[in-house]
Amino acid sequence: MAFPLMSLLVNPNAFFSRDSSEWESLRVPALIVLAAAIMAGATAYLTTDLVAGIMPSDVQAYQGVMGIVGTIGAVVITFLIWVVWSAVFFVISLFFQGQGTFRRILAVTGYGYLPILIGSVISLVIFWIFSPAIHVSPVTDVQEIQAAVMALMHQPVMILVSVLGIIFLLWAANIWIFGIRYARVISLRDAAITVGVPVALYVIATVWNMGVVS
Amino acid sequence: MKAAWILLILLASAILCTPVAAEETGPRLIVSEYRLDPQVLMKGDVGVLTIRLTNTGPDPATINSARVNGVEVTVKQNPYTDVLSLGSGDSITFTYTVYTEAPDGLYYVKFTVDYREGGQLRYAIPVEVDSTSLRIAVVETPAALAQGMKGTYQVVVGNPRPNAASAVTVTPEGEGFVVTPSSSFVGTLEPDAQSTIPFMVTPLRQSFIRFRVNYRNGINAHTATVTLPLDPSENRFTPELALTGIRVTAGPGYLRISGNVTNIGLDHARAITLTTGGEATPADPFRVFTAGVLEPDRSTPFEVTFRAHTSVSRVPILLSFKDAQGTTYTDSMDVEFDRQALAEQASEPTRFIMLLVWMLVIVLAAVIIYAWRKG
Repeated sequence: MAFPLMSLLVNPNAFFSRDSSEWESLRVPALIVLAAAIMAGATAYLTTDLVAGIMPSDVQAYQGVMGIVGTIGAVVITFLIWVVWSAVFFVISLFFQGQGTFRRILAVTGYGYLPILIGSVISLVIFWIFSPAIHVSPVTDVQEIQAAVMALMHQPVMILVSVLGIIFLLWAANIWIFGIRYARVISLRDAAITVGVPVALYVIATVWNMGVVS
Repeated sequence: MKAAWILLILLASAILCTPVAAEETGPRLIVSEYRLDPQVLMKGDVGVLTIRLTNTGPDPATINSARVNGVEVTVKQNPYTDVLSLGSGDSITFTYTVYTEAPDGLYYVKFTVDYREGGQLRYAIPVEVDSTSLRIAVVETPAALAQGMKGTYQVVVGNPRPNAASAVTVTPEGEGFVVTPSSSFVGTLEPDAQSTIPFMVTPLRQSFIRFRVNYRNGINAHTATVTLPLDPSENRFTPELALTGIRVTAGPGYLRISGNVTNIGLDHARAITLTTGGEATPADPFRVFTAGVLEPDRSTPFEVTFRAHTSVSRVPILLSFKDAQGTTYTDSMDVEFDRQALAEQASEPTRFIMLLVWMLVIVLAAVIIYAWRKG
């Protein structure tokens, strides 16, 4: 049976309203998260390349190591965040007498990573094209590193990538709402609250860090 | 009575015609030789006067002292004040140091020997003072004096003095040129002799060149100079590079200056290097641009990359190249750039991408509306 990709993206209610045995397996969600993690790792590698340019020249000698560490870290953290999102949804849905297992929430959250994966690919392409326009200068004082990194994160390309991340996260949230509804057997309103509150907090924090709101 | 007068006249003639003023009443000592080194003094010179005294009589002679005196030419020291004995046919040499501040002319010093038995030997020694210096002249200069091009200067040193000059050396002095040889040794220059020395001079900028001749008159050092202006015209046959089509762009972690380097001179430019200087730090991948030979009227694209603090908005491009003679030329050209423009350049694609973002937002809204309607 072909994977109902479009159904998951545009009509998640139809996707999750099927028999739960068709979607509660972790194999496909884990593959989606793995793909998103690889994309995140590639983006992290490019970001590390930029951040290394900020570092003092003696630290720049370790640029290769920093890139590898950043890439592996991004992959691991993507999987951790998958689990964290699932845990948050699981805990919040407890307030609404949710009944499904944590494994089902993991599956739902993993499916929700599909738009995040699409967004990661687009972000990576944009970052690949436009990051050469970012200019960084090596700092001479270690105390300047934080300010230099902040300045780097406020570069238009970096903000654009963050905005794309928010858009695709909202798309993922839409999937998560319908998925949680069926995974925890709660109402659509309760599922919206379960997913909407932490996602909204995350979006606000992200926008705050971008410096758009201060 | 007449015979007595003749005898008296003969006696007087004998006294007056004596060639050496030796005292006939004592031993027969004569100045057999004297020598002054240098033969002709210059004003301010120190000379060494050597006098040889010989006993031509049959008996030994004893002298109390021997001294030299003069007015225009003075003696620095009279060391011979002890009693000396000189056998028959023997000679003795006295050496004195003389000094003069007199103008040109012929002067005399008086050599006096005191006998122990009484009486003196007095002898006048002529000393010539001539302060004429060696002549130095540039007799040939390059037909065209061009910046960075070698030219030959023929320098002639002549000796118009009546005596020889020793240790003659010609040395070019000054700044703003390169010269070979850096010094030329002529040695001894006899009276009325001359020597021609070629110097290869490469002027680098407008300046003066002074040829100095150093020589010795005896033990006295003297010098003479001739100075020429070095006013080189711009060398029409040198390579000359110009940078055109300068463009500053941003790269990943560096700024990039690109453009064309053109040889607008009339000679080949060799070993061309371009890099950034000043507050810019050359950075990979193009820290230095290098090119081999660039023919006249030819151009080649170049690219250099650098890092600079965000406050820097002007960096110099340092140019270096050589001509066929291997002379290195350096030049620099300031390149200004607008950091704001670079930032806009960096964000310009974002405008296009923002359109994509808005499309995504619309798609997302449509998806959400569709999903909720279906849900």
